[in-house]
Amino acid sequence: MLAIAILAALFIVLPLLSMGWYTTFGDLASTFTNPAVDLSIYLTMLSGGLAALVCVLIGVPAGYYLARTSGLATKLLGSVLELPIMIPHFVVGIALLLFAPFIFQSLIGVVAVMVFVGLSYTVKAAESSFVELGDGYEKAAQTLGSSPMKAFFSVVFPMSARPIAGGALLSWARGISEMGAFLVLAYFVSPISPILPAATNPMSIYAYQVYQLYGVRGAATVSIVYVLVAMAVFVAAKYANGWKEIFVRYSVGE
Amino acid sequence: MDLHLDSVTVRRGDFVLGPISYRMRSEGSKMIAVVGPNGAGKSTLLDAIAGLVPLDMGTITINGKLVSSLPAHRRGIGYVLQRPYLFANMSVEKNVLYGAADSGYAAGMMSTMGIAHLGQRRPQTLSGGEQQRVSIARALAMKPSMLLLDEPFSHLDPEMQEELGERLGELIKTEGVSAIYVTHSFDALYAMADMVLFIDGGRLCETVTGSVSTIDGRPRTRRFAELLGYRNFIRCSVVQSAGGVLSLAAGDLRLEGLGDAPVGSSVLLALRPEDITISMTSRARASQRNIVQARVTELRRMGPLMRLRLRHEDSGTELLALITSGSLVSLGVNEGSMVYAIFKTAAAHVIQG
Repeated sequence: MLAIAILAALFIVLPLLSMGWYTTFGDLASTFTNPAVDLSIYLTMLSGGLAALVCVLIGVPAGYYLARTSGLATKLLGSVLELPIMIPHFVVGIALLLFAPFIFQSLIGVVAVMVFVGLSYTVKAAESSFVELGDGYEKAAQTLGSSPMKAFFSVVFPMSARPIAGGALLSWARGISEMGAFLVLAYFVSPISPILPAATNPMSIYAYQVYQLYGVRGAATVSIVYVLVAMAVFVAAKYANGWKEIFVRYSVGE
Repeated sequence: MDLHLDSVTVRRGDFVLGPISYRMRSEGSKMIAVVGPNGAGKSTLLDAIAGLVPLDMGTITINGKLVSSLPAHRRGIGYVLQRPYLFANMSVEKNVLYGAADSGYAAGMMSTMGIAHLGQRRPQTLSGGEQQRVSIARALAMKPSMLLLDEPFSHLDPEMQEELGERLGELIKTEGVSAIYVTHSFDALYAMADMVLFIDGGRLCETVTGSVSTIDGRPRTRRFAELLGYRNFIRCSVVQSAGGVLSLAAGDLRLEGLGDAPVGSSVLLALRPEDITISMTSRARASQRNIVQARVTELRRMGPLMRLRLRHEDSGTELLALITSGSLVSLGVNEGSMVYAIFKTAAAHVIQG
């Protein structure tokens, strides 16, 4: 078992490490300080953060509803909120573009794509957390004089905050790794003063453009930069308690 | 205290509680025990009183206030659930202060429950007994008009159950708050009940006012009797009735029991296994008026005791008796032995129907 686990880990790590053969510390440093790359990272992190916030604002109430109700409507809603996982990413871009053409090449478009592909993670994390917590705490709080809303915000949400944060971080990670939908909807994002000073690409699109211009070896350096950024997200996620459990639950579709 | 349940009905899926109508008016605080088998609707009744489930029909009035029209957080009813449900995002002290009427009173309640020294601890670091103490202190700190207790000690060991039960019982009397206590075991708190409601299948089957000894002595239905530990039910017809003592006939068997039923009616004689004495002779004390010669058809160990299944061969009547292993050995009883099952008239209770 251990051998298989190590092999699986190597399958992930070795290709990533192999990119290191095609770059130098000097190239990495200059890429990190390249204003175009930095702007691309900034756009991706900003839109990723906004998307994660939207995922929490939508996903927590939705997850609460799914956790506390049953019946056809709940099942239908739960299935719909899981749909983005199975939709090809390119199709997500086409669907969003046809639905809301005015978000083409805009920051809102980037955020919309990230929310679309990442919302399921927050919803599922919140739902699992609320199911596991049960309704006993909110009932206890209500009998102690708290309205349902106060009981939720003073007891239920704080007690579920860590798993929900873990889910939101997964949504964020999923959003910043998106590419297919950006290729259709938001591959060159228009500036918005003063939030976004110049036009730029999401990270994945930027790396793709470098690859088109300079080939596989030429794209290695910027790819490493983006992998390091993505790793930073996951390290943060790891220290949000309970993220592993959420990930496992989500992956087995509970 | 004035508690009035008027046609209270709650539907939960296929289960229906009610309609339940019950009124209790009395001076001072009272303790009501709600008993019944698992799934009878005891917790649903408490949830309904607390406002945690909506009523499909009926009203609940407490001390003249129509509480069933109020949401749970405006009813002022304390509720201690089976699990403590302490808020893990707060310290013990903040848990007790959560719904407290005033901080001084809450501090006093913590002292009374012996948890004052745990104030800064997180609930998850406490033992089960400590957690339930916090839960009780938290519910009482809000100065509730009524306290609901849903088997709050069911997850604790027997010693802790007894200790906390006694402490809570005293506290309820001291604070002058009336309480409704759900249980399906007969613990220290049950012993303090002023009255008992027996619920089965969502229906209020029996209400008994009085001390626990009165309650145990007067089961009016077979289900309630089963809950109270009666395992022998002998179908009899009433031959004679005099001063609350009935002479009964079950085939060739002649028996006596306490109760009230018309002569000629068909009744059940209820008897606990532990109230039967086993003897190899028919000699019995004066108070032991019932003597049944029976064959031992089965011997089974039940913890420290032995359970004997007996059969009166002429009438086909079966009895279960519990005796100690030592008695079994000294009597020399084996499967197939003929023995005498002897029991007092006072231990045999007649149930009509």
